[in-house]
Order: sequence, then C-alpha cells, then structure tokens
Amino acid sequence: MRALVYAVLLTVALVMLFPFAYMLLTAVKTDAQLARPDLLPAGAWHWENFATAWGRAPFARQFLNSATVAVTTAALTALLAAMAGFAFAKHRFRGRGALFAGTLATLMVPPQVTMIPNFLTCSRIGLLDSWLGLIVPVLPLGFGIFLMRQFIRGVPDDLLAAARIDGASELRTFFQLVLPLCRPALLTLAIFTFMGSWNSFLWPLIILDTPENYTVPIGLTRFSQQFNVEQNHLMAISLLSLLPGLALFLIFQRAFVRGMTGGALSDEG
Amino acid sequence: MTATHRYALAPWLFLAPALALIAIFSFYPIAHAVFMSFHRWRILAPPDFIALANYEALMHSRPFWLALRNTLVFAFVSVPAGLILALGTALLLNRPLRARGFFRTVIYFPVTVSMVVIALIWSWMFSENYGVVNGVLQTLGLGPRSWLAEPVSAFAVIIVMSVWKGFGYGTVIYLAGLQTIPDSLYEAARIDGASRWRMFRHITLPLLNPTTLFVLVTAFIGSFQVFDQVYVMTEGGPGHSTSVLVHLVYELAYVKFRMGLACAAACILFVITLLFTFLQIGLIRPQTGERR
Amino acid sequence: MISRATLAASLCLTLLACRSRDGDALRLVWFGGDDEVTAIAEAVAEFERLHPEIPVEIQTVEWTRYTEKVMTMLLGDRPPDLARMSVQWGGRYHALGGLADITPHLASADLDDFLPARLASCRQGETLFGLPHTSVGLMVFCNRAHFERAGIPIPSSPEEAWSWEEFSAIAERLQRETGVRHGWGVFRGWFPVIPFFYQSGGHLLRDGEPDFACDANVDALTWFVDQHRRGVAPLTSWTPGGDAAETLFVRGDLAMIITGNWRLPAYARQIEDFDWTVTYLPQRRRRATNAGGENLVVFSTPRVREAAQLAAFLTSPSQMERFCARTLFLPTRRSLLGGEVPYHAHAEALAMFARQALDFEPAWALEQGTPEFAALDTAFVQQIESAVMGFESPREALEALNREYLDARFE
Repeated sequence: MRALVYAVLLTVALVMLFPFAYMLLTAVKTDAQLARPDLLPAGAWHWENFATAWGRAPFARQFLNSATVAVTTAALTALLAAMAGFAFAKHRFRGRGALFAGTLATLMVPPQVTMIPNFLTCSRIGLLDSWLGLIVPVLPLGFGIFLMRQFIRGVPDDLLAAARIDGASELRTFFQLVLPLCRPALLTLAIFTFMGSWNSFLWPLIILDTPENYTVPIGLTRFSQQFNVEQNHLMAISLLSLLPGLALFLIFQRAFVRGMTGGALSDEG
Repeated sequence: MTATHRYALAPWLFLAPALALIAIFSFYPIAHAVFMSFHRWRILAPPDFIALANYEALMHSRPFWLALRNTLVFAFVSVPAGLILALGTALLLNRPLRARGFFRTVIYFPVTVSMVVIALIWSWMFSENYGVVNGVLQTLGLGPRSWLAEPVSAFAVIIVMSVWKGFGYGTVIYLAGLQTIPDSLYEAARIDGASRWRMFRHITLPLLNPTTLFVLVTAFIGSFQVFDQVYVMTEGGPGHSTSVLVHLVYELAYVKFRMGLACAAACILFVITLLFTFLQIGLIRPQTGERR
Repeated sequence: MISRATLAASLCLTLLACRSRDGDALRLVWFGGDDEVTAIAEAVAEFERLHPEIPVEIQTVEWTRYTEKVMTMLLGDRPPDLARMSVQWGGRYHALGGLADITPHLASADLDDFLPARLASCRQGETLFGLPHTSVGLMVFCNRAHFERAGIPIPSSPEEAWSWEEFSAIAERLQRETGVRHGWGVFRGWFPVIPFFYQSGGHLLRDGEPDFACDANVDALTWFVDQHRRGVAPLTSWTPGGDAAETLFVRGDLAMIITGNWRLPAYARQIEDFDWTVTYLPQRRRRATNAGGENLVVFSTPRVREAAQLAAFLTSPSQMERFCARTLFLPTRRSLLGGEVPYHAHAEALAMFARQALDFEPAWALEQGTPEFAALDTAFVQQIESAVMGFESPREALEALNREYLDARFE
C-alpha cells in the first residue's frame, strides 16, 4: 500500500515536472536540433543560448518593468488595503456594513467587464503605455481589504485604546502599532499581489504599446509570434522568467499556503 | 472605542484612497460597460444609440454561440476534473510520508507560474512537426497528430493543460481542510469497525463539504475568465473552435474595434458569472452556518 | 493629521498627473525586422545631426499587432507624429480623420520622381498625407537542395513561370522523391492569397462594391483549399495552433514558400543547412502578383511641419537608396529603379522581385487601398482559414467577406 502511494505520487511529480524539464532541454538545443522532435538534444548542450536569447529583444528592460510594476503593485495594495481594513475593523461609522459589502462585491466583477471602460478611462487621463496605467486600475483591493480586515479584527482593542490615551494620532497608531502587528498578513498579501502582477497578461496586453514598456509575459508572447523559429531562445527566456517566482515561492511557502487557506477557511479563524 | 469628533473623521480618511479607486475602476466601469453595450461604437466616431441591437447581433452570431458553448464546456470539464485530482492528491499527501513537502511543492508549483509561460511550453510540446509528444508517438509507431490545429484535440489540450496547471491550488486547500478534521472521529469509527471507504464516505467527505464548495466556486468563476492560454496557443482557432467568451470580447474590442458589441458580450459574461456567484452564496451560507 | 492626509492625497494626484513621456521629441512609430530597425535608427540619427532642433523618438511596435496598437494610440488621443504604414492602411486612417495634409510643407520636394501609383496611395482627394518609402513584392522561395535531388529546374524568367498545374505537380513530385513534408505553402495572411485571385482572372471590388465571391475567386480558392487538404500545402499552417509555413521552410520541411522580399535578411540569417533561391509566381489565366509597401504618413498633431520634414528626408534619393540597400527593400523612386540600388546581398533576387512587380496592375492598388478593405484585415485571414480548414465552402467564406466589407462601410 505504501509503495503504491509512493509510486502514484512519483508519477504525479514526474508529470508535473516534465514540461519544465522539456523547457530546459529545448533551451539548450541548436536550430538543427530543434528540427527533430527529440527529447534530448542530439549532441552538445548549448548553454550559450541563454546569453544569445537575452540579447534578442529588450528582455532586460522587460524584466525590470515587470519587477518594478509587481513590487509597486504589491506595496500599494498592502498599504491601501491595510488602511481600509483598519477602518473597517476598528472604527465604527455610518455605512460601514454597506461599504464593506460593496468592497466584497468587487470580487464578483470579472475583470473582463471592466477592462474596456478602464481602457477608455486610462486613455482619457493619459495612462496608456505607462507604469501607472499598468498598476493603478488593477490593484486587487477587494481581496486585500477582506484579508486585512479579518486580520486586524484580531488585534486587541485594548492596545489601540492605550495608544490613543497616550495621545497618539490615528495615523501614528496605524503606522506604529497596527502595521507592525499585521506583518504576516501584509507579507501574504504582498506576495500574492506580486505574483499576480508578475504573471498578469490581459490588462498589460491591452494597454502596452512599446516593447521597451512591455512586461515579461507580453514580451514573451510577442517574441514567440515574431520569431516562431527560435523556440530555444523563447524557452531560455521563459525559464529565466520563472526564477523570481520560484525563489519567492520557496522562501515564503508558508505565507503562500496561509494566503490561500486564509481565503478558504477564514471563517474558522 | 471612544468616538470623539477626531476619530469620526479618521475612518473616512483611511478608506478614501481605496474606495476612490474601487469606485473609479470597479463600479463606474460596470455602468459604463452597460451603457456602451447599447451603442454602436467603433472608436473615433461618436457612439450611436441602438438600444438592444448589439445583443440581438450576438444572438445571431455563430462565433458568440461557439464561444459561449466552449466557455461552458471548459468550465464543466476542467472544474470537476481539477477537483477530483486535487482531492485525490490531498488524500495521498495527508499521511506521514517521506518527502511530503517535496510532493506538495511540486504539485503546487505550476499554480505560481504565469499561464503564458505554461501555454508556450505546451504549445511547443504539442507542435505538429517538432513537438516531443509527436516524437514519442512516432517512436511508438503511431502517426503524428496536429494537436492544436484540430478543433477537438486543440480544445482538449487546452483543458488538460489548464487542469494540470491549476489543480495544485485545490490540493493545498484540501490539505488544510483535512487537517481540521479531528483524529478522534476516525478512531471512534475504527473502534466501530468501519471500513476505510465508509470512513471516507461518512466522515471525510461531509466534513470537507465547505472546502469543496469553496474550491468549486472559485474554480468556476476562474474558468469563466479563461483567456491567456487560448490567446497564446490557438488564438481561438481553428475557425473559432477554441474561442471563449473573454477571447471574443478581446477580439471584438481590440482587433475589430467594435467596442459596443464587445461590451454587450462582456455584460453577458458578467451576468453568467453573477448567476454562479449567487449560487455560491446560496450554497455556502447554510453549509458554514452548520459548522459553527 | 488632516494636513498630512491632504498631503498624501495631493502627492497621489501629482503622481497621476506627471507622465514619464518625453514631450519634446518628434514621435516616429515604426515596425520591421532587425535590419529595418537598425537602418531607420541610423537614418534618424543623421536627421538629428542635420536638425539638432528636432529630436526624434523612434517607437518600435511589432508587426503582428501593429494596426491594433496604432488604432489604440489614436483612441487614446496620442497619435504618433509620423508612422510607417502599409500602403493599404492610409485610406482608413484618413477616413477616420487621423492624418494631416503635408502639401504646404513640401515646397522643395520633387514629388515627380515617386512612382505615380505609390504617390496615389498617399493621397485622398486633395490631401497628401504622406510619402512613399519602400515597396515589397512576392515570389516563390525554393529550397534548392530538394529541387536538385529531384532534378527539377527552377524557372528564371517570368515567361517560364509554372502554370498552377505544373506548380502543384512539381510540389507533389518533390514530396514523393525527396520526402519533404510539404511541397509549397504561403504565410498566414491575405497578402499572399490575393495573387491567386488575380491569376485566375478575379478581382476584389466591382464598381466600388465588394465582389469577393466572383466566380474566378471561388475557383481560385477552391484550388487553394484543395492543395491544402491534400497535404501538398500544409493545412495546419493556416491556424495559429499549427506550425507556421515560415518555420517549416526554415527547417527544410517545406520545398517552396510564397513570401516577400522582407524575409530575405531573416532567411539569410536563419537558414544554414541548405541553399535557396527565388522564382516567379505560378500563373493561370494570366501572370499576377500582389505588391505593396510602406508609406511614411503624417498624423494630425501640432508637429505636422517637422514630421513632413522628416518624411521628406527619409524618402530623399540618398536616404531611400541607403535604406533599401541595407534592408533589401525595393525603392519607390523612379530614379532608383532599374538596378541602381547597391544591395549588399541578394541583388539578383531583388532584380527578379522588381521584374515580378510589373505583373501588378495599378487598379489593384486602388481596390486594396479603400478604408473598408483595411478594416477587413483579420476577418480576411479568418475567412481563408475557415475555408482551408473546411468549416465553410470557399464560396460561403468569400460571401462572408462581402458582408464584412459592407459592414465596415458604416464607419
């Protein structure tokens, strides 16, 4: 029985890993080796393909764009969601319930519905083909606010009251007391938002025009449309594009799992 | 909490930036999309009000029905398949195994990877003349197939790939769910002489119900938004046979510049998603209520 | 506290307001292969040396989504000042009101030297919205290795061009005798399909009305579809999920491909394992080809004068000659035709391209230059795909194009 379990799991692992292995094997093939549907490159492995690929398009620029956009998106989402989450969790005010429900309702709106009007809005205020346009309209605030409110609700009221009695302003209470306490939730939210932004495709596809402004997924798609023959270079860059996510994932696995199960099982919290 | 005047203003200041963005980029666009769906509008020229003509045009358009059918097929095939794989792998992993962390990581990893990259590699694997899949088939003496260029196999590859990429999400959530089931329940059942299958059927499954519903519904909503893989692998072809609603919206809006028609299609997509979301709320509420 | 929040809010607004676009430079939007991008950058650098008061920013957009992106630039109210534009597109942008009249800024330019048909593609009524820059044509590229193995001669003059029957028979013989996967193919686009219509005596418009489904075209498409369905041509190259004909040719799996001179530099770089050459397109009722090219069109922005100046500079005899020599394009000036351009490679092939281009009638440029035709674009390709893949009969596919054309007219 135990052996069977291992056998099944090993098969699954193999199936999960195979495409990535094939990616690597493709990346080190020459043109002539690509012309045959072999698994392994017949002959030498050409690691220099990675360097060649890097120079075939403004990939360095595109990696920088993706990183900047993803970091900014993550930071902005974490900050704005924590602020709103704080208000929803620890303040009483008229319309709180309705506003929170409204915030949650945004989770039901498919981004494809808002995409065309948002594109028009961006064109009107000049955000097309820019970093701001890539970031601001698609901050995942609904999810973020929900997560932060759940977490901040767990912060004891006494702590806040004590700070206020000491005469701290609300802004100071928030930045010096609430935010540090929320570190785990902020980390989870930031990582998820970072990955979402690093991988996002449809919105950047619509609003970006210039190769120098592309994010990595757009750059890869365009490269594959233009240079269909150069699968080795395409796979080399694709492989490199996985590295930031892989690193984050391996370092913060726990935060990943918490983020997901936080959404699913938060009611049990 | 003491509500002095100062504190009465504070929450609004904390909320302002987020709520402003939500209003501008989530709520206003819905109204705008509905408004535009009643207009004939092909950019640069001013929009013409044409009432429901866009919706009528969609009802008579073969690409629309194909895209709608494909979207539903995609959802109703990929979601259950992913769910079963997720539950199966979670059950396997929910036992004291060596390298359990490794297996979990490997299963979850594709979830964290960009769909574009996954679609590019699968396209290459299934390339008619140069892909490894046909290469293996040939060494087995089987003829090559043009996987992504035939309607049925192209859609099948897209579905299999999407399930492969996504089911790890469910695995992790199921694992967390399984860990909330107290061991004492199983011990009691074992003392009563219950078989493994009976324990699974009468303890595990019912207690996992809320988890299942959560996975099911998020997966359904996600599957209505399928786009990246279709755009990268087939562009909806051959001849619309792998087109889905979001791809149709994209094509109408940004390739053919029929903004009004595209908005009408987007609104229909919205209504379908809403229906399923309300179904979710209706189903999950009583379930979680029971557990508290 | 309030003042700090206001500060933060105003900071956000400032952030939103300041966009990082270089407002001073003249914006030239460009597409093309590696060589074309380098060549234009050099030409523009020289222009900037001569006119230091006019800095130019070149924005390169990939060909695959070019029209899409230029349209969204217009929609976003930030049109380029000057753009490289396929001849078929000028009419549509003019109809949309996006282009400027440069006649007042061209006092010294010698318009007489431009090919009349090409100058006409930059004109609508009294408005001259651009200048012709380069020309492109189509030929059959042949994998010499396969032809030599089968002992089949390749025609070297237009008079010897194969008939369709010969073309198809040779393709099948190559498949049989050399084991090459497919005999011939075209890249996925409307541009290389149209010659088959003309060769069989067809046309696209009749008296300004769409006539895509005329009998000659239906005949031609029926033959074209049949070639693909029988595997002489690669069926699946017509759908994006299949392997592209260009890829098959580069890998030696396609004996002949009908494509344009813009591919010459790429093939020279990509193909290492075999020799290749070009020959004339096959003929049926008559010899015919498709021809096109690129104009430099000026958009209605406050910088029409400078944009016109740059366009005139880039299309001047010396600049055009240098650009064409480097990128292997055909010139649009009469003084440069006739073998004057010092091509760095493939001069013989380019002379044949120039010869083949004579089989293109000026009337065809007009029917491919209407705003409605430009709007078809993707629909045209999808209808051919639909016929080739067998979802619609050739006649149904072409009739659908008539409807699309009329539908586009409402713009």
